[in-house]
Order: sequence, then C-alpha cells, then structure tokens
Amino acid sequence: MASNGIRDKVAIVGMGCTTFGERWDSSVDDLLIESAQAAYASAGLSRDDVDAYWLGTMGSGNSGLTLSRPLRLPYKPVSRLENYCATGSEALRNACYAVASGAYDIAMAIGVEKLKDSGFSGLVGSAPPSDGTGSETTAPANFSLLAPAYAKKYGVDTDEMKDVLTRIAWKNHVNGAKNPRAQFRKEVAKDVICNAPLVAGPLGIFDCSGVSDGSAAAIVVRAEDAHRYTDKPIYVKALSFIAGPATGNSDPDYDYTSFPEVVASVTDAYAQAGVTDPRAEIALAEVHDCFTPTELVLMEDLGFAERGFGWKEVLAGTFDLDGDLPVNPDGGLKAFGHPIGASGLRMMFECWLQLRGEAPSERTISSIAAGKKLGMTHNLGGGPGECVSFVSIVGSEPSA
Amino acid sequence: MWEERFGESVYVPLADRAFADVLKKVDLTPDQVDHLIVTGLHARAVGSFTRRAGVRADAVVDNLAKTVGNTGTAHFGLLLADTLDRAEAGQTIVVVVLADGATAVALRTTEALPARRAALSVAAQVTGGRDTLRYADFLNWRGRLTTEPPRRPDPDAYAAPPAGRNTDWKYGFTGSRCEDCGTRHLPPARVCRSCGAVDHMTPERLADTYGTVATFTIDRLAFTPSPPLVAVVVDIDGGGRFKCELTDVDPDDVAIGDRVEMTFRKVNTARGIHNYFWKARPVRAAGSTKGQEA
Ligand SMILES: [Zn+2]
Repeated sequence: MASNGIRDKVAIVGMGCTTFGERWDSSVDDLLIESAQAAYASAGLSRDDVDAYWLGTMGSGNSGLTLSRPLRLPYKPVSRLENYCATGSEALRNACYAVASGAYDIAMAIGVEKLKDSGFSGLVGSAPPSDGTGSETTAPANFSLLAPAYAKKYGVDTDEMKDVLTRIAWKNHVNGAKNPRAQFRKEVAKDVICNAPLVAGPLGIFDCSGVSDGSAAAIVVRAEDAHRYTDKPIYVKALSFIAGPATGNSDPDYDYTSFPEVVASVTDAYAQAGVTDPRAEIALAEVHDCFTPTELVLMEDLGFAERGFGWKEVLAGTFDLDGDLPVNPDGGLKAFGHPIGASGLRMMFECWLQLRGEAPSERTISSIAAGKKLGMTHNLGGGPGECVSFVSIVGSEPSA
Repeated sequence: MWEERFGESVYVPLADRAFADVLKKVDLTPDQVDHLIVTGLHARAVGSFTRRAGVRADAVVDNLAKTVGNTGTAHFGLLLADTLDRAEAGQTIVVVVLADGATAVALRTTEALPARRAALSVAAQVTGGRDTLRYADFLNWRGRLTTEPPRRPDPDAYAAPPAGRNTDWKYGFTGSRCEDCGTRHLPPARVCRSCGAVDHMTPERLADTYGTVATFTIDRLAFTPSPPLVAVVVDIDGGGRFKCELTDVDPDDVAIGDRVEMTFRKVNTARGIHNYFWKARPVRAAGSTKGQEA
C-alpha cells in the first residue's frame, strides 16, 4: 500500500485560461474553444497533435462529446469527469497519470463551467431521487460554521475574527484588481467588506466567492519531452486527491476548525514532492477560498501556519502578494468566481505564469525572486465534515 | 359552504341517533358519561348537538376552538389526548364525530391510565406554543399569498422508493448503535465510522431523546417555509450528532449549549408533494429529564 506519486515524470508545456466573469457573449462551446486554442498556441501544437483529453465539468455537459463536438476532434479519446469543486484539478490529475503511464504522449486537461445562465445564487448541483431527509442548508451556511468554532477554540473575539475574515477578502480583491482575467477587478475597502449584508452566520456577501463562467486548459507531456515544446516547462511534483469518510456532521468529536481531508491530501502531496518545510519551500499557493473562513483554516491545514496562529499571520500580511508566502496572488475564487470545472486549472494557470516569470509586473511576487521554485494548487469540494480535497505541487525545475 | 341551518337540520338528528345507539350498546345513560367530545367542521351542528346531548355540564370537553382552532381530521385525536391527560381510571369517554354523517365511539379508561400519561400534556403544549406567527406567513404557508422565492432551484420532491426503504429513519428518527463498539449513528449506518464493523447494528429510536446545540448558523439563502433557516448541529444525549433545522425559535435567541428536542415538521412542498422530516426545537418542559436515560 503506497501513494508513490509521479514526481517529475510529467510536465505542463502549454496552458490557456479565459477571462472569468459574466460571459453572456460566450456559450460553453465558445469557452472551451477559447481555452483550448490558447493552450495549443502556448505549446506550439495543433489540435491533431494531442492524443487524449480529460474534460472536467460539473454541470455544463455530459460525456466527452461536450468537448469533442465544439472542437470537432478527429476521433480522439475524451473522458468527462466530475469531482465536486476539484473537478478541474481531477482532469489534470488523470491526464498526468495517462501520460506517465506511457499510454499517450500528449494529453490535454480542460475544464469549463457556465454558471451565470441559470440566474441562481451560489452553486447548484443535481441530486438523485432521495428520501427527503437530506440537509437543506447552503454552502455559505455550512462553511460559516468554521468561523465561530475557530474563534472559540483559539480565543479570538468576535470583532477580531471579523477583521481576519475581512482582511482575507480584501487581500484577494487587491490581487484580483491587478488581474485582467479576473471577474472582479476592483479593490474593495475593508469597511465595505465588513458591513456588507449577511448571507449566512457571520459571513457577508464579500466573504463569499462569486458566481462566474470560465474555462482553462493545460497540455501535459512526459518530462523528458518537455523541452521540445517550451524552454520553461512546469514539472508536476505531486498530485493528491482524497475523499473523506463524510462523518464530521454525525461525529460529536469533529469541531469544525479543520478539514481532515485537506490534511490527508497535503501530507500525501508533501511526501510525493519531498517537501519538508512548506513555509520555506513554496513560492505561492492557489487555495480554495470559497469563503473567507475556509482560507483561514486552510493556512493551518496546509501547514503554512501553526495551529491557532493562522489568524495572526493573516493580519500580519504573511499571505499578501509581497508576503512570505503569497496565497491566491491571482485573486482566488474571491476575484474569479468559481466555475467549478475550470477553477483548478485556473489556479494552475497562475502557477504557470508566476513560476515562468510571466506574471505582469504589478503581480510579481518576491518569493520567486528569493529563489523559491514551487507552486501549489488546492481545491476543496463539499463542506466542513464532509468533503473532497485536492493538492498539487508543481515546480520550475526538475529535482536534482 | 352549504346553508348553515340546513346542515344543522341534517347533522343533529344523525348525531342523536349515533349517540343513542352507542349508549344503548354499552348500557349507559347520558348522565353517566364522564367526558363528551364532539368534533366536526360544522360548528353550528357541533354546538347544537352538544347542548342537547343530555350529559352533565362538567362532562363537556372544551373543543379548543379558542386556542388551537379546528385541526380537521386530527381534532378527534387531539381532543381525546387532551381528555386522557385529565381522565381518571374507570371513566367513560364518548366521542361523537360529525363528518359526512355521524360516528359515535364509547371508551372506558382502565387502571393503567394514571401511570401512562403523556410526558407533555396537550394543555402544556398549547400554553407553551408561540403566538408570534405573522398573518402574512400563515397565508404564505396556506398557499394564499405568494412570496418571491430565493434565487435558488426549487426544492426537489422526495421519491417514494427511497422513503419506503428508510421508513424508520424518515418517520421514526430511528438511528443505530454499533454492537461492537457502542458508537451511535444518525442516520442509521451499516458501516460503523469508529470501528468499521459492517451490519452489526441495533436500531435505536431517538425521536424522544433530547440534545444540545453544538454549533449553529443562520442560513439566509436556503429554502425553508419560515426563513431565515436556523441550522443547528445537535449532539444527542447518549451519543451521536445530527445537523438539522431549528424551528419555533427567534434566530437572535439561539446559543451554543441550548437544549433541544426533535419534532416532525414540514420541510417543503414540491410538485404538490409535502415533505415532512425531523427538526429540532427548544425543549418545551424546562427541567424535564425526558429522554436523558435513553
Ligand atoms: Zn463500531
């Protein structure tokens, strides 16, 4: 029994990412064509060069035809998959494994979601016929349980806690304001964030990520072939996906201050990548900031802060663009919204830009200049007590 | 509605006959009836028959019209439960129901009654009720006033086959306890989360067991007949945890540590199908230890 990983066996050699937002102008097909074309161009490849495809989408289409039809793919294998909010990352994970196995030379992972057309607030899933005994609560309510639990456990008073959550939203909006692909490209003042109408528990509308449309894509090849396509490949160091036993909401021992699934997946990922001191080794982390308390708890679950000290690090600016370990330098879900199938690959796109030194100057992070060479992407799907978690670690250099 | 006095002229003779028939069968006279319950939707006929039935004045059971209203089909059971809260052993109760005809039932209490009273009397439940319901909400619940729903998908209707498979859970709030390690599961589980045992479970009905609020939140986006939805995580006395809606409460008054009991309530109506399931509500009898031992 082992999680051996595929460290440095596969590299990303091309990526594309659409603008996220209210894409009234574009259909699912249009978004897929846009990100796929950008990824092909980025790797200097054409449609016919890619051997196999993995498409991630939660609700924007079923089967591989959702991709093969708009791209008019010439009789290629296309897997369509879904894994809650880790859907886009799962497309990447499976494409990487296919290439690492030798089954294919060149694979594309592509994710898409078109959420705005429905007009609904928040995310919407479709469930199989049920006995009518399931929970009626929404995602913001489920994640809002983290805030009072964390505050109580670590002695943070209500006002301080509000400041911490506000600072997370403020920071991600500051970053997003510098990103032409983001849905929200404006900084938001802290008092506006703090005094916004409540959605669930202590969470106001600015504590919640937005709803948007978008698509992103990556092309992966065996690491030894990578320099045929680019001078600056991004090597895949670790891919970990965990589905938890979903017992938190029925187990009195669960205290809503951690995601055990995240701890399990990041532990696995660090082992695969050989990371022993994440705070010192990781240049940037793109994490699943679906709600502000989620990002706070993740800082501790991912090992970026000691237990009970994440809130102090947030206030100290550790995770700001110019901090020790920039988190969500592209603006995160907060500024991008969360088109489910696309988000994981959108996060990877920021690692791709930053680790290759291609991020625009206003978003350049000092940790790269300081010599750090690793990026992380993280997704969490479900809610506290019952979720899936994905962690990837990528780097600009193969291991020595 | 039909002409009221006409209805009375039809109902009352039928009630007279049914009442006389049942007394004849048990060989009693009206003055020997200790409790007379008369129910029906035709208020004028109900009142008219009650006055002429010939029972002692103190034998007439109050129909709760002023405090509860008329609950229709359930009113027979409600008034009988109220009467059994007070009746002594060895007494006679007669129920007359006026509904598409007249039905009379004679009952006799036994020595077992005083020891088997309900934990919470009907009178106590009526007194403990909240009367803060806004008229607009009442009209909304009755489908007579349409309000704009949240910008969320309509709730799904539940399906009969899964509800049929899970009857004990859905209607009885029956969880399970692991025979190997004692861990309690809500909803009932086949695989134990603690020890991994499979199908070593004993069912446990928990509808009457109290719990304590472990944490809670106010969900302003979710669908509920009574927004905003107050969601609570309840740690059940004796083990197990259940996340559900808290009802009959002012959202500003909820606190961690609150004591709650379970109550079977309407969750939603979708495609014309009413879905009922368990919600928590603040315990009604302060200081009661009901269920603590379970
Ligand atoms: Zn067990």
